[in-house]
Amino acid sequence: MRLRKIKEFIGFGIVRLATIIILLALFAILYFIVIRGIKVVNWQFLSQMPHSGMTAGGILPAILGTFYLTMCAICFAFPLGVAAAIYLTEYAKQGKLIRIIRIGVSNLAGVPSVVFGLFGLAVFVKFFGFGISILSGGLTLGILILPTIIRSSEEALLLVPHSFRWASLALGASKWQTIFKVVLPNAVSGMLTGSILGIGRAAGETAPILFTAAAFYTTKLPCSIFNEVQALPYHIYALMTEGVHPKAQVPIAYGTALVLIFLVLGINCIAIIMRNRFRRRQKW
Amino acid sequence: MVKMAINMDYAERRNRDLTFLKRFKMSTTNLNIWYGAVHAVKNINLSIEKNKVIAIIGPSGCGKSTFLRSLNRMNDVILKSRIEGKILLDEKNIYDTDVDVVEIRRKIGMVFQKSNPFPKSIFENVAYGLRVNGIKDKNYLEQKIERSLKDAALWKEVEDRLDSLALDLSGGQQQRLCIARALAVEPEVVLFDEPCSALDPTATAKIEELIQELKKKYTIVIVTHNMQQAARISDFTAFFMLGELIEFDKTDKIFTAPSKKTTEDYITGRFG
Amino acid sequence: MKRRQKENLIQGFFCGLSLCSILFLLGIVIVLFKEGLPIFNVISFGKLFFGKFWYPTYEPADFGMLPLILGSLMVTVGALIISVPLGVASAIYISEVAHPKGKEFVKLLIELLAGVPSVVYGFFGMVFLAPLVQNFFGLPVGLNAFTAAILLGVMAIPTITSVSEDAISAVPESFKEASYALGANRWETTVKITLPAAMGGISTGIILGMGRAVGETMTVLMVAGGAAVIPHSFFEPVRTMTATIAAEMGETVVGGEHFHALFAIAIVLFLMTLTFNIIADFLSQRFRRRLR
Repeated sequence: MRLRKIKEFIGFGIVRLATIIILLALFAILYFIVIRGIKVVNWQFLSQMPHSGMTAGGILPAILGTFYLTMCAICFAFPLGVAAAIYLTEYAKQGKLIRIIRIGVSNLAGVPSVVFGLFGLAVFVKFFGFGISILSGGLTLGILILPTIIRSSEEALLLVPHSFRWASLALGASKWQTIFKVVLPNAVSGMLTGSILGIGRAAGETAPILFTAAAFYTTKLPCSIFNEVQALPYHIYALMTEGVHPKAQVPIAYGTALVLIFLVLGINCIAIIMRNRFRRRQKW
Repeated sequence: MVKMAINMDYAERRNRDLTFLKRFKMSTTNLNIWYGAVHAVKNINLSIEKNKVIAIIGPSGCGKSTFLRSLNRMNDVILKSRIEGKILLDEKNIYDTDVDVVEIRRKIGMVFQKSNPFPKSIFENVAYGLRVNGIKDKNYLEQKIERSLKDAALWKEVEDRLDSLALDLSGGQQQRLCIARALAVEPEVVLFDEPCSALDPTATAKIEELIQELKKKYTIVIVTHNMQQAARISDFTAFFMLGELIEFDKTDKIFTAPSKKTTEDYITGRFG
Repeated sequence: MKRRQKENLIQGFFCGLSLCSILFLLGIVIVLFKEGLPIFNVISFGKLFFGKFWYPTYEPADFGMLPLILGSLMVTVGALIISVPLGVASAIYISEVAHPKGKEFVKLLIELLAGVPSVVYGFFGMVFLAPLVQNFFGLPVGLNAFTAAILLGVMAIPTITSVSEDAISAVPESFKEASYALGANRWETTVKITLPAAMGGISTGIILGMGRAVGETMTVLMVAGGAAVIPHSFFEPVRTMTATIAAEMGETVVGGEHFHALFAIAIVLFLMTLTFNIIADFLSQRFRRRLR
């Protein structure tokens, strides 16, 4: 009896320890970057252009670049993804074909992001001739998050009880009226949550923009969507691996990492809090 | 009306007794419904008289709900089904290809087994059907909503909180709200799919009373698994079993002197 | 019938848009194969996959993918050794040990861990972990398979944890109650009843985590050291498939042999992750059917 108790104690102790190790890893990363980054980040750092060959100045172009890329991605992927989800759940006959499409979409969510980068290079940069630009990078990121948006929108739509649809149809509402006035208002929060998570993902990805949008050093801000841009995640990578003054570049990388982490985790936090709120509020 | 009569083919028109038409709101002819391989409703011929309450009873799985849902073509949405035969509303087959399903469902309202108010305010719930039918006039909406809520015997309980969320109402109130919502679009027929099965006896009594009141204006078809309820509220009763219509007659007759042995067995509680 | 036309128009609109997005997604597969298959005009199947040398810029070039495949394999296995025990254990903690409040908190933090961008892991690895590993083991370089495996392991944990936690939570209370009623304590119930019952779901999580580790690019590009030679130990620099694409694509001539070779790597990656996903799908469906 005693032995069994000890075993239980040790067993659950190990489980606790493992969890603590994981959380420690998270804290280590955050702590390290915050402590070193905070020394660099100030208003000038956020609002100035870089100068002296990337060894001094701010990261404004990278912040703006990430913003443009992300906006471009979400403007492309949100309407397309939501429309696809509406079609797949509300209109399409639920047969084999739709099931294959669903499996395909969910599998694409697991394809490595660098593969999406290759696709963007072959299609947007070369085939459509957009060159290395905000447009190419944004579209590539858009396609990267498209499966996520389709899936989360579908889940949101499927969560709306069928009885709502029936009630609406039985009142003489057409299919579209039912979707627009009953289904979508009740699904929109879930769709938004999914999309915000998508934004967070797009903002933090590097591999897809490596050869579709990113530039290490630009002296001026982009003025059209056909310009190449700096972006926060790529900036970190470039500062650590390129350039000629590694010593001077590392502190800037800390600052950039802090800004990026703050941005991405902030976006994720918003999405998670939103999701938990909506879950609690839902009564049906 | 005239136009429709012209559209109908001659033989059909000749076969129809006009007085018969006036008396009956809906009728089904050789109605068959399949779900995949399951033959759920078999060869039903049934006529539904205007301003009467028709109850459909039978053991569960007898096809009574399926039958009910075919009357306003909700089966199109709820489950994949195949239908044969005719269902006439006035003199028009609602399964004809040129028929607008949406229009049919507006004319034939439905109240579901489980109350299903939208997660909106009480006001917006009742207004919904009117709004989707293109009514924007605020005054008219308000009048109409008051009228419908009164008809559904809910007005007194909610008149001072029309803006509160419908989901905060009690179960019985929610069901009456769903009835009010169905009435607001001025249907001609109202279908009830076991409307009281999730309610307590008091709420049930209220709804039964309400149905008695409603038949003055509407034709009512109600599916119920509760035989006492059928006996209390209906003028006609149809007894379904295994997808077939076993007996259809005045309610008094069904419950006092059924002509079929199976019907008698069922209502005396020998099975089901 | 105006309404019906309008309805059809709307349906057509949605059908068109969803076809668009499906075409884009299908396009990925098509483009990969279109750009990757031409490499077989230059090099045989066997040479590509089992060639021991990756010298894409030599004259004549060598496109032996074996070092890259082994590199990917090595960091992935290393990552799993770290992430599987930690991930499963934390899943047990969340579903069986933690109080409801603590549970929400830990779940939130693990979700945040999943949100940390891979380039940040890479950065952290370069400036913090690599020097640490180098000093601790007395190595010539800190950027090696070992360091990369640790980071990838941490990155794969959230996937494993969340899928496993779902699986463990899905085990019906009645199983556990039956076990308690027979006198087993909570630990024995967890190990002998809950975990075996949740095994299908847990293995789904592990495979998905594996997919994440194989496909991860930036971290390994920055931390694994980048030597495209067949590795002999965990403490040597390696080059994975993903890192190769990321590092070399910028310098290739579009349409050249090297370009096609990199796409061929992408095909391999794609097929690998697809296989993982299909296996994971299959396992999770079987798991759900069994529980029912």
